[in-house]
Amino acid sequence: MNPILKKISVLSQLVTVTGYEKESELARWIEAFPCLNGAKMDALGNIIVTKEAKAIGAKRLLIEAHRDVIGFCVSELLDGGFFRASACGGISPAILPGTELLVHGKQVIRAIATSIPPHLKKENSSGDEKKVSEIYFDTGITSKKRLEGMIHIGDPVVFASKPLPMQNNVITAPGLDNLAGVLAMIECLETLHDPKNHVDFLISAGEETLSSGVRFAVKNQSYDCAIITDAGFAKGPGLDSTKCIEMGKGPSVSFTDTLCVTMSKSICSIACQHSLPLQCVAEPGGTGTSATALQISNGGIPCAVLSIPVSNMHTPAETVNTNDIRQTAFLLNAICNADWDAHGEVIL
Amino acid sequence: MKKSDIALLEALTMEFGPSGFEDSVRDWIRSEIEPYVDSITVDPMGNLIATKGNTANVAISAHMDEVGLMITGIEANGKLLFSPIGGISPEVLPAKQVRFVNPEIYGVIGSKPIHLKQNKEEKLSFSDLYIDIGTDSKEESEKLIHIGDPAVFVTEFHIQKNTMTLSAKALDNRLGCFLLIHAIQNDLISNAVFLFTVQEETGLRGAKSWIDSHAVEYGIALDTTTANDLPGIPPHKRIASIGKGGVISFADGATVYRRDYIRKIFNRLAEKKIPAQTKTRRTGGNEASAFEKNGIGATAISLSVPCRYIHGPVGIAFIRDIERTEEALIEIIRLIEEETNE
Repeated sequence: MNPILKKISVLSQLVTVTGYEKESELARWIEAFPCLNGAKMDALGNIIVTKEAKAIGAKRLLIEAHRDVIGFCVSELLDGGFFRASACGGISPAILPGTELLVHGKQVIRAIATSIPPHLKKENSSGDEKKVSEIYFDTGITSKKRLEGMIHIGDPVVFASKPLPMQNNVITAPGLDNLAGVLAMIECLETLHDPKNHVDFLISAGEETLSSGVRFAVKNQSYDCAIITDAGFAKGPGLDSTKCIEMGKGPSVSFTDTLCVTMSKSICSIACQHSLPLQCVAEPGGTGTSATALQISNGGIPCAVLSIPVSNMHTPAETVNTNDIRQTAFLLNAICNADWDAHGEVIL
Repeated sequence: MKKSDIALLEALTMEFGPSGFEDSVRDWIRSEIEPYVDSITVDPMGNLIATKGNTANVAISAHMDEVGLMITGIEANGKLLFSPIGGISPEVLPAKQVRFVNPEIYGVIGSKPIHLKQNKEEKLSFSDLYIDIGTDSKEESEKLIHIGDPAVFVTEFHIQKNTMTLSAKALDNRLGCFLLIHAIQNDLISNAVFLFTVQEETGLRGAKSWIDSHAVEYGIALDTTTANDLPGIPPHKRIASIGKGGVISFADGATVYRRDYIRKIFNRLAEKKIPAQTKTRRTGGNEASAFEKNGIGATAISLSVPCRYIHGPVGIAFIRDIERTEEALIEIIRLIEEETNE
């Protein structure tokens, strides 16, 4: 089995729907990934682990990846054992019919997003897309009363699909946004000994909603620069190729008007120096990641975004090339050992 | 239902067998029933025919095939184009995991972004969808997949213990196969022809060919039917419900059944306090239509397990409904035997 796929399977047991981060305890994370030993978890569910540098005058870096995944929360229990749910994070209702989900209530209950069988299609032939809130989820428990004893309004709901291997080191799993980023960070941590810089590794909470985790985590901290590791849109049929990155060619660094361009250029230099693959993507207007909030936190932190190409983003069948995760870990390692100045520039 | 029966159900639903590719399902069923039957053959179509007793005037059919996908093209970027095998609505396909066999390969169904559609009223169609197996080029995909290769959904078999709700792929019609196997192994029916058919989903093709060359007086199609007892579906559009027992039709989209005989069956079931329901809309069709119209014609009976979301990646059925459908089947066979002996 692909070792990254194995780790993704472990990690997918630990991540939670955005807003429910506190429900997976720190002890379970450390047990699964001993490199997190000594980590602390704050009130929002941010997990922070520090690698101290011995050198005098070392810079302080923050490397961040968000731990929350998209999902739903139960919003209404209905007669016949059905329920409705609200999306936590952006989910297209078009991918829902026929999808299996797990409700984490008093016990874990399986549910299916309802669909109309093809035999009856004619009368429902309009292409009108339903909203997530208009879709019924079927638990197969035919009584509302019985259902009330098992799940509750507010309970989180996740995709039930499981991680599977595909060709060319590609794997599919739900929640790769941002299991991929978290795993790249963990892989980096596992191999990082005596870094040149002080590095705080932040596995942050609440990104898929309002990046609430990072805002809180950096309060009263001073960082010279920060690197955000997240999932990026992989190229695919019908997608605008200028906004996407290629799978299997390493992570990308974003060039955008809202982040520190000097730092992005520095990361390109580091990748070049270490012969690591790196793609560039222009994202005028912002990256849609924690970086947007982080850059203007705490008096301003120079930020750069590394994205790992992920296909079918925000669906139960996201895919990622495990080599891209590994290459991202190598690049993060090089970044931790680079000579940074205080303005997001690296001295080569 | 016993633990061993649940294991039987699990193994059956997990088998790979879209229409036209029933071989492994058939081999599996054959190995399960061979010690319990008086004769067993596979005909040129691929139907598996087993008999018990030698004076049978009733055939019970259950189709082995499930709906699936067939690869119709490979694009320059390695993505696979496909068409459905049997009736599948494209809307249940985006972002589902699929599986190929020989070699065992997993893929995911991708869709061109919905917002790029020129006419937003336009429905999603198969041409908007593709399968990604992780390859980057046509050459790479061609080494693994051929045009015409079939795929099925990746769906876990699951039982919700406290309500005994079953969710799995291919409930249509491995549930029917299960009931036949269970009846054979437990000697619940001692004088009948058991037909495990091929290619039902693509036009009752297995059943038609066998029935054309064999005469029986009674033909029972054992299948699953749409339970659409869902919120937002008004009562007049409902077909069947889960939790109300087996479904016996007076009429469906393909057949009008002998009303007197169906009444007799319902009366008998009421007498024996076996819950059963009828289809409340004339829609769908199954192998009963082949029994009625092919060969020399037979008294056709359609008995189905109500099942939600058939022809999709995952269906829902009640274990209790499966048991009640079996009770109804046994009672129908008894009724037929009584009439024959009169």
